[in-house]
Amino acid sequence: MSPLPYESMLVLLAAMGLFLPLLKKGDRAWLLSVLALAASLALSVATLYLSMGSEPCYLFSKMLRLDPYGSLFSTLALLGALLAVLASKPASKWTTSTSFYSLTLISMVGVCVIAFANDITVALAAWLLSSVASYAIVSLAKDEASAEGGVKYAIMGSASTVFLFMGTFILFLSAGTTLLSSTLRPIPLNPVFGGHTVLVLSILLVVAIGFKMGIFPFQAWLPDTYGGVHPSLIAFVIPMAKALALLALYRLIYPVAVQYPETWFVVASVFSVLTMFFGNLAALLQDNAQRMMAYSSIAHAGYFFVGFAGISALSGLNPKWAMMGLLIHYAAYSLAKVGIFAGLEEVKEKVGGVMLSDLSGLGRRMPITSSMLLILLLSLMGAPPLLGFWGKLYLFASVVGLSPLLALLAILNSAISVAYYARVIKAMYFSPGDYERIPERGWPLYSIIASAILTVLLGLVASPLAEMVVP
Amino acid sequence: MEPLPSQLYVFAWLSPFIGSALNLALNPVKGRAKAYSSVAFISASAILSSLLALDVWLNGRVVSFEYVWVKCLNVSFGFYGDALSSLMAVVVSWLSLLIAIYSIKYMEGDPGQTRYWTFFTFFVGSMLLLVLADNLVAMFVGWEGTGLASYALIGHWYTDEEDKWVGDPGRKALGIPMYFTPSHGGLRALVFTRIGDVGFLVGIAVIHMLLGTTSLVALESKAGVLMLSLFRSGILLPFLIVFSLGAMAKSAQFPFHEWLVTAMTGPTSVSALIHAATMVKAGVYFMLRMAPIIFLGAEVLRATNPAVFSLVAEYFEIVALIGGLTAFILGTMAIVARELKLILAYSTASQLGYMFLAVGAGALTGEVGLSVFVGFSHLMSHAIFKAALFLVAGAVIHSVHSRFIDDMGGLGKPMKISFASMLLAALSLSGLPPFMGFWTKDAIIDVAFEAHAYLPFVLGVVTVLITAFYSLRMVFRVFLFKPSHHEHEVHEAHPLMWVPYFTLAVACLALGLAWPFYEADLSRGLTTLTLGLKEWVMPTPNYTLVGTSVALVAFGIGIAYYLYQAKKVLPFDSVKTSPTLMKLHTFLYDRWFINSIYYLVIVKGGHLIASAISKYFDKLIVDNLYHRAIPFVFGKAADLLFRYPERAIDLFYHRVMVAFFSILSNGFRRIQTGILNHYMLLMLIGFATIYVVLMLLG
Repeated sequence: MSPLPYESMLVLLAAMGLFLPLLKKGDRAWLLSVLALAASLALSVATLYLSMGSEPCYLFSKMLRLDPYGSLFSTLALLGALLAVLASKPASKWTTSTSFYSLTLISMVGVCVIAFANDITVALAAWLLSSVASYAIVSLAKDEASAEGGVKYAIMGSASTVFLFMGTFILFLSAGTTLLSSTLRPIPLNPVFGGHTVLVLSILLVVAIGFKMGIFPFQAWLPDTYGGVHPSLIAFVIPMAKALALLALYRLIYPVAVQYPETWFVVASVFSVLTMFFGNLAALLQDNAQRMMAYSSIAHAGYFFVGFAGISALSGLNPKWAMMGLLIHYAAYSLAKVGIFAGLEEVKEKVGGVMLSDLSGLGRRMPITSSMLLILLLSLMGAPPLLGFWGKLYLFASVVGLSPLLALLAILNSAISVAYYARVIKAMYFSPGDYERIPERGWPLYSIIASAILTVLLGLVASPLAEMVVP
Repeated sequence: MEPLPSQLYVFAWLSPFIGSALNLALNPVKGRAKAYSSVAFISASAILSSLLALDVWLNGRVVSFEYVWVKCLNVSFGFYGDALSSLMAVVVSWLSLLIAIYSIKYMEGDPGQTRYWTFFTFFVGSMLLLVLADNLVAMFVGWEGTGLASYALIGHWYTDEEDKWVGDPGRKALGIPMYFTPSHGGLRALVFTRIGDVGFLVGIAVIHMLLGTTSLVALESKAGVLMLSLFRSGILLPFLIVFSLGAMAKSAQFPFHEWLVTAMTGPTSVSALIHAATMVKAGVYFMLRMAPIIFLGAEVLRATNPAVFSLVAEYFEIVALIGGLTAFILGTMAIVARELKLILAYSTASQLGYMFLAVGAGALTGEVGLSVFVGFSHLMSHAIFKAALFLVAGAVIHSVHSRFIDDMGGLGKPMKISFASMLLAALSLSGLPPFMGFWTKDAIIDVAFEAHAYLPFVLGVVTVLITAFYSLRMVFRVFLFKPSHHEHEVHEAHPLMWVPYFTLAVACLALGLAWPFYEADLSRGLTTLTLGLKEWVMPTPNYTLVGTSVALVAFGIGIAYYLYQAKKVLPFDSVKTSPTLMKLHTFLYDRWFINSIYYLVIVKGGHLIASAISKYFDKLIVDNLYHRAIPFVFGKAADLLFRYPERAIDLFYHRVMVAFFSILSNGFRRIQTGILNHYMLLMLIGFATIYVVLMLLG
């Protein structure tokens, strides 16, 4: 296959990202970054199309490996980023807006590289590029909460990067090469740490990468950042950071998980159960919708880890379903969170706050936004036939053969989560509130509608689409 | 004919769904926009269905393709167009189109336009999905979609004004009210059909469990395996009956027919489409689809396992008997009905009974192809004439502002076209040659005789007489008889309304006249190009039977003519004088008391059981147990235990437990101190703890 579309995409994103800060007007920067993301999305689809059915193509002395799974993943990440940037039109009035749009593109370069990383050093570089960009992004709103969230995120991020270096270092020591060769050849591990090399390695990587997803107990920064920072920024950071973390875990852990499935399965399931319970139980207590969504992000990190438990090739597990589940669930999660955070931003702007009490009667006041939010919340709950249902179906089904308990706990958590999503729905549709219509128009609205419609439509084709790209 | 790319045919069912979504979006638009867009989308599916049928029938091929939807559950979404389904799709889509055109005028000015058109198109889409599905799951999705649309449209006038009711206000039978509001009617339809649908769903689950697939094609090829494993588990006959429950409920077969009667609270256009021409045929269609497969499975095992074959024969006997009973019971009710739409509703269920009889008897002759050919022919002819009858009824009720035939009469003069249409359609219903209804009904009688299913056969023959009588009674009472007085002048319906039903009425006659010319081709196509069938079969005409049934039809028409036209008397006036006849009249008028029995046994009975449980079990046993026995035992025990463990327990409950739960509930909140140093500490402690724990475990 030809790597040309992929290479042009990287060049386009990077060049545009470096060019945008030179602009003075925020709305031009917004337009250019939307165009750049749309073009990259098209190029990514082209890469996906080319990569399907052909031998994987290696780039830069085998440091990158273009395969369909990574292509679809990065396509979905670009889609989420595009919708988030579309929704951030009001932010183009900020003094920092050109930096924001430039950083969005640069951070996407990292995601698009890590999606195909076949080498530890490249994965690290991409990870740092995107991470540092995202630390800057969250503090761009220049208000107190954003600054606080940004600082916490950055400091915790730096600390966790130390774990990442340690983890990858052990990986390098054990393998004797920086080349991951991904799914092709399992890495032989030397017993540097006695019999516990794999365990140490796994936990270190989970701390470092799981931190970004909000894996318990490394989640502490997340409620403050996702729950406090300006929602427009979070709407972008969520799909970007989640893609970065999922892809990093997939690329770095997959070779280990395949060779030492027992250890990895235990590590992944322990973290997944802890995280699901923490996220869902804590979300139950929240009265602030944005903070509630932050905790729901933690819970979803737990669901993703059910899938990571499922990628180890133990008998009874179905790695194929797990990989399909990770992909579909990522799509569902990122579309839902982009739409919901963009919607919360609209509500914050027009109603004045995002406490549940502010949302009462929203179904009458902003009927379009509310109905779209309803679809997205149902998708997060996992209601069929929306995208979120298929994600959970495959994630949970992949482990049910080996550990029905884990699947049961995951389903139980899904049930708990219905309670707090329903609180939002109840506030919007069943609580008395103002009757005055609030005008709904503009790019944020279009982006919310697009995410809801995509959630419905992709729900119909998710299974066969994911089926095509999973090796 | 040049075949279209197969995938395009999906739009036959997809297009109405798109129209349905569009209708929702068109909500703010006033006027006829929604009506026109619905007509446009339904036309698209009518054209595609016709192209599909031409493709199948002319090229002699089966159009099918499959799109795997959820691989891990082996669920696919496929399309299956064979002779049966393509022709059924043509019938459904063209009738929907004509009725949609009729509705443009009929529903004009109704405040619930968006609801009406959204569910109308949604119904058409679901029905076509059901017909063209290649597996049971997709079929079930369409099946439930039609049920939902039916519920919503029966209750369309949910404000429950009295002129939209069914039944005489205030009338009771055995103490049970016999009048129903639209919202009550909608609920009854939902509940009655749901009972059957559970059976259908259980059937699908059993098939999936045994074969791992729900695809119809796979079902056909593995029919023998399925039958054998069901037989070995000893549940073959129960399974077949449970599996068909959905069809019986949907097609209003006795004892599930009650919902169809009260479904008449919906707009008449809805009754025409859903409760006469199409949805109620879904059950028959299901039987036509499954009968060859079931039969094939039994025949494969005939040599090795004759018991399977005899059980399957028993099943078809039951089907034929249910059909015959339904035809007869509902036919008798139609004789005395006073509401125009009720006469038609009874007659619909009665005719559906004929179709079930055809399915059962056809298989009993040993040539299951006869089931499909005879059953489907009658389905088609009934769909056409009954849609016409309902549409005329809508126009008539609309113009005299009453649903009772007592308020009609003499309408033939101002409404000439409607009169002609209803007369043609009613003659077809009564089975007079050369109308289409004659040929198709006669074929059923023939087949029933050939199958030696004598009880259903006799019921069917008697019903011929009944049908002829009530059909013509209806025509005479509405259009001739004694002219009734109306506050305002009655005039002919709008062309948008009469063109559809006049077309249908003419079609009954034309298709009937042409029947001998295309009968052979129809049966050849249906019996060779339908899933599970290969051999071309035709019913052998039995001239004695034809003569008898024509004589019965003439006799029935004659009585109606004598009473209502020659003598112009109301038989009810003389019935009133005789207590015995009056009892019979009440028995028929109150629908054999079946409704009352349901309410008495199920609703009242349920209530009785509940209150008995409350009175005897709950109050006597449970309450005494909890308030007397248990307190006594525990009181004694507490007395004994009081001194020693009391303190420890006290401590546990009041200190330890409280502390535990407050830590748990506040713990999560406490973690979130907002102070970065704590977060770092948490991260390190968490890492260390998990590391150590896993290390010790691993």
